Amino acid sequence: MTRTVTLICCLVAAVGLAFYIATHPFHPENRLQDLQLTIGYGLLIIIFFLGFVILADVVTGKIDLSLLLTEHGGGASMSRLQLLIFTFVIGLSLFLIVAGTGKFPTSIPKEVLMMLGISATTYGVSKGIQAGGGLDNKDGSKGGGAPQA
Amino acid sequence: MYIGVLPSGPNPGPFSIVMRTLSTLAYWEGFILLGGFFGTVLWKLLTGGISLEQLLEGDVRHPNAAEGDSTSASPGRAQSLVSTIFVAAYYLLQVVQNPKEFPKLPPDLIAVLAGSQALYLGGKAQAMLLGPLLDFLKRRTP
Repeated sequence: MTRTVTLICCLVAAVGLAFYIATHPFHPENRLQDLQLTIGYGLLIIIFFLGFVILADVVTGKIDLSLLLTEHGGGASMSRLQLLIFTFVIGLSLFLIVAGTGKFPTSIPKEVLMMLGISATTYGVSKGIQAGGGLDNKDGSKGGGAPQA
Repeated sequence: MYIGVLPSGPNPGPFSIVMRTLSTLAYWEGFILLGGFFGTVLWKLLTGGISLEQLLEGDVRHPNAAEGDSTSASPGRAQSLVSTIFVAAYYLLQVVQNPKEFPKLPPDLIAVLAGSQALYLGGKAQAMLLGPLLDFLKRRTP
């Protein structure tokens, strides 16, 4: 219900803003710039509300993250934690770079890709080893642990 | 911090002002959403909302034991955690000091990370796969 109301508010705000810019042009001779503004503000509003709904659900526990790092056998997974840390680091770096320069970086160094590749490969190989070893749950039972990635 | 996309003149027009406002709003939106997600996950990690139980314990397979697998403290996991945190902190510091482009990591650091992961995976494979393999070979040998 709350989600529906938020989405409706988001769409109404975006459409209202588009209507306002359409009826109050900043550049009557160049409407393309008005279109850019409209799309920019519309996307800003929609992304903010969608992100905010997801964030609110995570905070309130509607989206359950308690098993985010839990592997099939029941304990926390080192490779999942590593992937999480690297994802945060790269995401934060991208935000800082875009905020610092005002544009997306033109290239991504191969070292960054290698870092993420090593992490993702570790996760994949780790799952393979677990599958090959037929890991039981740490309580001794077979299977039925945390959901797999 | 750069948050505008248009050069500021002595008398900026309405379009320039609105465009600059859009950039500022986009900056704060990214800050709030990304900061919120990072902060929430970090908070849940610290308060136990995301379980880190048995993070430094490795699985040891006992194929002949009735109780199945067991766990024990794993040096491989510990060194993997240390190297991961070190590389992540190094990278983040580089970005904070020069937020103009993605910094390049020294090849030696990449090698250390790869070696650390190889060690972790080797230990895990040895603990989980070597025992059954030896049992299998023992059964096949007359």
